[in-house]
Parts: sequence; C-alpha cells; structure tokens
Amino acid sequence: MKQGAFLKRLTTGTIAAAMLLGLAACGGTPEASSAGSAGSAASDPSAIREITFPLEEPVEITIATPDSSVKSLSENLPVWQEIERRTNIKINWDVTASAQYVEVMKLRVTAGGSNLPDIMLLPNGLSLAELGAQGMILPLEDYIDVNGTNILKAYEEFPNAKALTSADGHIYSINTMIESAYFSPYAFIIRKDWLDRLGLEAPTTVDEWVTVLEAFRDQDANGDGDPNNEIPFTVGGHAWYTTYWANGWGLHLFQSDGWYPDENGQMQYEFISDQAKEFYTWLHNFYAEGLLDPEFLTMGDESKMFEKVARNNVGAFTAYASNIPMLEETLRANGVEGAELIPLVPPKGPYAQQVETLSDMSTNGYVVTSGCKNPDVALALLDYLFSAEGTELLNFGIEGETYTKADDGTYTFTELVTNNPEGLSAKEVLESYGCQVGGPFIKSEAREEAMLFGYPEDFRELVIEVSDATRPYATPGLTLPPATAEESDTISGLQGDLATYIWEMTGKFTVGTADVEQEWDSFVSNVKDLGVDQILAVKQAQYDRLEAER
Amino acid sequence: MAAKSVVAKRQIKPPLRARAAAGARQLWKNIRRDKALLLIVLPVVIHYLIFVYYPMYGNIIAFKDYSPVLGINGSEWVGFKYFLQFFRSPYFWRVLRNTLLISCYSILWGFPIPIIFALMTNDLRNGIFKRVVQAVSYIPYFISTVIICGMLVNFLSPSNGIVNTIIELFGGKPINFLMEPGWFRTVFIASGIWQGFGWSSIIYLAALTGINPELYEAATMDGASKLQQVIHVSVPCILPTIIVTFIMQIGTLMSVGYEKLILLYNPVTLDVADVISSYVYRTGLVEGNYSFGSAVGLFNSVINLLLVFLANRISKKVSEVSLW
Repeated sequence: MKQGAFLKRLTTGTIAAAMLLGLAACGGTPEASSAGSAGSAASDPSAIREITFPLEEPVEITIATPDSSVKSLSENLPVWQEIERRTNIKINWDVTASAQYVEVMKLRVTAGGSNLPDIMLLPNGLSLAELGAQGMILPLEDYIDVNGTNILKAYEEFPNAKALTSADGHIYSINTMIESAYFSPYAFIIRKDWLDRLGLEAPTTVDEWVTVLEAFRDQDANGDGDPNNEIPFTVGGHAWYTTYWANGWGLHLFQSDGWYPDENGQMQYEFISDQAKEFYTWLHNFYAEGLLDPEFLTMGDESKMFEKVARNNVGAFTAYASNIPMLEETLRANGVEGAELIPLVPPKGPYAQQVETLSDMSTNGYVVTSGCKNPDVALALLDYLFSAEGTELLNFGIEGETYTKADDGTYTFTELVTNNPEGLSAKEVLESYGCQVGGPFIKSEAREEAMLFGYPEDFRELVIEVSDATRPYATPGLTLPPATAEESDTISGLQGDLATYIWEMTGKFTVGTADVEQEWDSFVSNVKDLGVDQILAVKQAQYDRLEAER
Repeated sequence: MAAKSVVAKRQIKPPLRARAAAGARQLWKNIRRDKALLLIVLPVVIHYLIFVYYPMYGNIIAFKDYSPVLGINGSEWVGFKYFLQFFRSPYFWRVLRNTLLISCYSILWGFPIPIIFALMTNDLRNGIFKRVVQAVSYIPYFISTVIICGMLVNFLSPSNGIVNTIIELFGGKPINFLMEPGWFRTVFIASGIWQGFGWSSIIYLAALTGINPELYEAATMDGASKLQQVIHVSVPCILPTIIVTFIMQIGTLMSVGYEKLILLYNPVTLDVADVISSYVYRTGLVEGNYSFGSAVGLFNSVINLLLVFLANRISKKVSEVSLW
C-alpha cells in the first residue's frame, strides 16, 4: 500500500522517466497563463452567479481524474450521464490510468499549466499553497458561499475538512469525505481453525499474541503432519507494515508516519521516542524468534502475501477484513477443509490499546484551475456531488438498475450487482456504472453495509461486531493542513531522505543487522542530522493552523 | 572519391562561389547516390535529434529552481545549489560507492563472458546445434525486467524457492538471498550476466565471421592447435571490436539502471543496493524535485563523458585502437 505494488513501482517509474523527457522537450511552450489572475476571479464575490440545476444553457466542464480500471469514464458511464442530465453540464473526461495518474499529472502541471482541465484531482506531491500562490488554482471560498450549501454541510460533519483543504487562508480543494472510515478497519486477521486445532483462545493482548504465534510455530497448526511448515505471522512486503504492531506502544507510526502531537499539543517525531526503542526491541525479538515471516521484506506487495495465505502456511497477518471471504474461498479451492479467518479487535500492548485508522478524508482533492471559464458552474457541480442525490448516485448507482431502496431507507443491491452475469464483483459492477470514480464524493457507510450482501449472515454480523468493538480504540491518523510555500521550501528534500533512513533502519532493527541497544543513540542523532527539527517546526505550524480552524 | 575531387579543385583554385557551387553539386550527387543508405539512417538521426539532443536543452533546469508556472525559461537561476545539495546529501558517498562497485563488478565479470561464449560457439561445427545454443542464450534478453525480478524472488525464496530446495537437498541451510546484504551484488550481477551475455556476444560473433579463413588455413599449415588458433588468430582479429565495446562500457560506469534495483532492494540491503539512479528516482521523480534530479543526472553524464575520453585516450596510446 505505502510503497505501491511491485509492478506499479516499475511502470510508474518508466512512464515518469519517459514523461520527463517529454517535459524537457515541451520546455519551449509559452509560460502558463498569467500568475496574477487568481485574485481577480474571486475579487468580487457579488459577481458570482447563483447556479441552479439544470442549467438553462449547457456548459462544458473538463475533469482530469484517475480512470476507473473497470470501464473508462470516457465511455459515458450511467451515473455520470445521469449527473450530466440533471445538471445540464457536459463533462469532458481527461482521464489517465490510475497507477500513472500522479506521475503524469504532476508532470503536466509542472510542464506549464496552459492546457490544464477545468477541474482536476490534485496529484500527490504538489502543494495547494504553492499552486494557489502561483495562481494556477482558484480560491473557492467565495464560490462555496454562493453555491456550496452541501459542501458547507460536509464541513460541519467533518470538522477537519476545511482546514485540511485550505492554504494561506483560502479553500482550494474539495476532497472525498469518508463517512465509513471506521467501518471494517485494517485489522489483525487470524486462522480461527488453527486456534481451534491447538485449543487456543483468540489473543487479546500483545503477550497473548506472542504465545499463540509461538504455538503456531512449534506445533502442527495446519494439520498436515509437518510441525515446521507454519509461518506464524506475515505482512505485505514493506517494513512499514510491521509498524502496525506499534499501536500497542501508543505510537502513531502506521498512518501518521510518526508525526503526532503529545498531550500538550507539541508535535513529536515518535520514531525516535523511548517507546519506539522498546517497540523495536520487541520487534527484533519477534523476528528472531521466528514468529515473523523471514520473507516479509521481499514479497513485493499484499497480493503476494495473500498467495501465501492461500497456501495454508500462514497463521495470522494484517489486512482489511473484506479480503477474508476471498481468502477462505481460495483456501477451500486449494483443498483446505474448514479454513476460517477472523478479524480481531486490536490487542492491548504495553502502553496502549489503539488502532490508527485512515483519515476520514482523502489526502488529495479536486481543484479548480485558473483556466476554467465557468468556475461558478464547476464549484456548483462539485457541490452537487455532495448533495443527497449525488451521494446516492455515486455510492449506489442507478435506482432500479443497481439498487433498490426500502421505505426505511435501507439500500439493497440488485442481482446485477450481487450476482453479475458477466462475473464481475459488486465493486466492479458499481464502478462500471461510475460509482466512486470521477470526482469527490461522500463515501457512505450505508454502502459499506450494503456491500456485505454476498457474505454469509454470520460473517456479516462478525464484521459489524468487530467494527463496533474496534471503534472505541480507533484513532484516525493525523492529517495536517497543506504547508505554505515558504514552509515547503524550508523542508524540501528533507522528508524523502528521512523516510529512506527510517524504513532502512526499521528493516535493520527488525532483522538484527543493526542492534537496537547499541545503535539507538546514533540512530537518533542521524535522524536529527537529517533535519527532523526543521520538519517538526513546519509540522507544528501546520498543526497549530489545524487547531485554530477547529 | 569526394575527397579526391575536392583536392583536384583546390589545385586550380577557382573563385569561392564557384567552389561552393561545385561542393553543393557534389553533395547533391552523393546524396542521390546514397539515398537508400541515408534513408536507412534517417530514423536514427531523427530519434537522436528529438529524444537525445533536443531534451538536452531541458538540462538547464539543473541550474534553476524550476517552478511549473514560470516554466523552464522563467524559473529563477540558482547556480550549483542542487549539485551542492547532492554532494552534501548524507547518501552521496553511499550511492556513489555502490554505483561504482556494481558497475565495476559488472564489467569485471560480465565483460569477458560474451567474448568467451562467442569464441566457443564460433567453433561449433554442427550448424543446427550452434543456432539452438545461440537462440537459447539470447532469449533471456527479451524477458522484461519485472518478470526477471519476479522469477528471482520466487527462485531465491528461502521457504519454497528452487535454489534453496537444492541447497537443502545437499544438506545446506537455506539462505535468504534477497535479505542478505552480502548476497545482493552477486545476485544482481549474476542475473544481469545471465540475461545479457547471449545478446552481447552477437557483436563478437559478427566480428569473428569477418575473419579471413585463409588466416586459419595458414595457421593450421603451421601446425597450430585449435587453442593456438583462437589465441593467435581469433582474438587479435576481434580485438578492435573488444576495445571499442569496452570503451563504450566505461562510458556507462556511472549509470546503473534503477528499474531492476528498485524491484529487488529492500531496507536491509539498501546499504549495498542504493545507487545514484535509484536515489534520483526516489528524490527526483517520486517526490517531484525535478531540478535536483536533473542536476544529479547531468553530473552523472559529465563523469561518464570524461571516462569515455579517458578510456579512449589510454586505448589510443596502448593499442592504437580508439573510437576517434
């Protein structure tokens, strides 16, 4: 997840390299539209028209977005056709395969913004503050005041949203809001049938986990007669996955990358805290005792891990619970009788019982570029996507075709979705209709519940039960508002080197090529040398802005 | 011929304009005569102009604080800021050392093998067998890097990889190859040689076919054994080819491709596996510091160019064979 898949890493690299040549080759094109136009568009709020849909005259809007991998948005998917019909906006799709979107779009923006679409998903790595200051994207607050009733409503529901999409006092982007952030979170998953075979209880603390995994290691947990072919615990192929355990030490390494405020509101870099040292010591033992898969760094990605799980050698791992039915089915297909996987509530560690979940908002959102001729219509369209109608369309599709709605408001997917004649999964069918692609939307929890249709009744109950039991321990990962131009300038290049070092040392501490006890002090001082204090100062300023907006 | 006629005209010393006109006529004549050859070379020339020469202009962003809105020309000059940033980076020495080590070892082990292979296959008498051997040897060259790396990960897996299964069969302990810093270069370089030796041997085979068979006949008459023929006839005859390819290889000393590395390295092996190009990939492309990436790329190219000049000069002095 973090580092991206094996294959993706290469393709994006190659494409980016190819694009870099292209970038250099396009260098002669005239410079982007004037930098001063930003203020002028919004300088006179009274000039903004109030938009009511459907428009009297059709307006064309171009949207740049990662394409759906199921069916291209450019084929006029039904949900978006419906949106076009109801708003009388003609949407021109400017799509890129999702694996390449960030690299390609970043280069397009960087190569000079003259040919940018009206609305685009801001590619990761570009800063709102910088683009805003350069006048490439429009400040949206005035448009929101006039045409953004649904967006304003979302700001109330998601208290961080406004601060996180603002820079230099302007709102610049509209992001996907994740109402379902706490539903069925990333969790520890264990083989229930292995537990039963060895007569063990599901572990609830980190220590109990170790006991259970030791039993998996020493005994014939998979029942094939060989007590030595069990891998007690595995993760998906990057040192980052192992930091999921750090939750038990009260650390926020997994989603917040270690940048987290202490109780006094002072930002800390938790990778160099005393708890982290204890955690690394524990993690090394965990590896040295043979509880962690020795291939945990070389597997490439999650799908490799799933392959391994399907071979009936893995006792426990971390993943989204939604993968369980697929895994159980593959295990059955591989001739394993009675394989049962269950998600568990996060264990109590030496310092905490917590689990960091994804933020309730997407990291990047959709921005309106300064080349847009009808920014008022563009914002109104984005607002429409957040309306009740828009939310229903983008989560459930077309009523009567993909779903039906009961009088009490519960949604049920039709057979087309649940048992697709072409063999597509429910998510794929909905995506081929245009759900949850193409623009920002509110990711509804009702959809996640409706999506559990295909699972046996008891699994459905299990997921809802575990989700509910996990909720008290869930803390969302910290997302900070965008850095200002000066801020990103002071720390430019620092974070990459730091990340390289952190993951390198995490790997080495785990495997034991670096000894935690002996090398801890040099580790901390190296982290300091890599500029952690400068980064912390910036993070502090960002965090203060977030607090001020709350 | 062209040279001759120019000399002839010079002797009469006609007025400059007439000379120029005559030159143009001559040029046109040559073009007409060689139009097929020129047509063949045209795509290559166009490719070089568009994809190699024109982008060189973009190199100036290495000296600028490149900003998307201001464009290449409008961005502010910052001089050697990004070069200094690279030289002062905590990873500078590590990536430089790894780049040079991987390159040198690759040349050390990888350079002789295609030559030996070419000499061996050249003396195969059975035509079909020879062609099969050649085809089999260069098929790996056409497998994509992603697949090669996938194969490596699978074959070298400590739990069920074929290599470790064989090691265990002989009573050894499985080795976690890809997690052992000591094994990384060996795996990387050996797989590179396996993939490329057949392909690289083609140029030597071509050179070997160009050798006049009379030389071998004469050597046989003088009672030279097979091995002596190889040492005293084949090798000296293909030596110019060997030297030229060697000089070219020296020119790539500073460039180790990142594709295969980023697919094979992991935090534990980063110490020996992180090279300049993979570092640029992470900091320049992934994080979008294009000026920084260009600066490092330019630094690399300059060193490579200097190395080619150096190798060429040494070769000229020592063996009188050179690129120019």
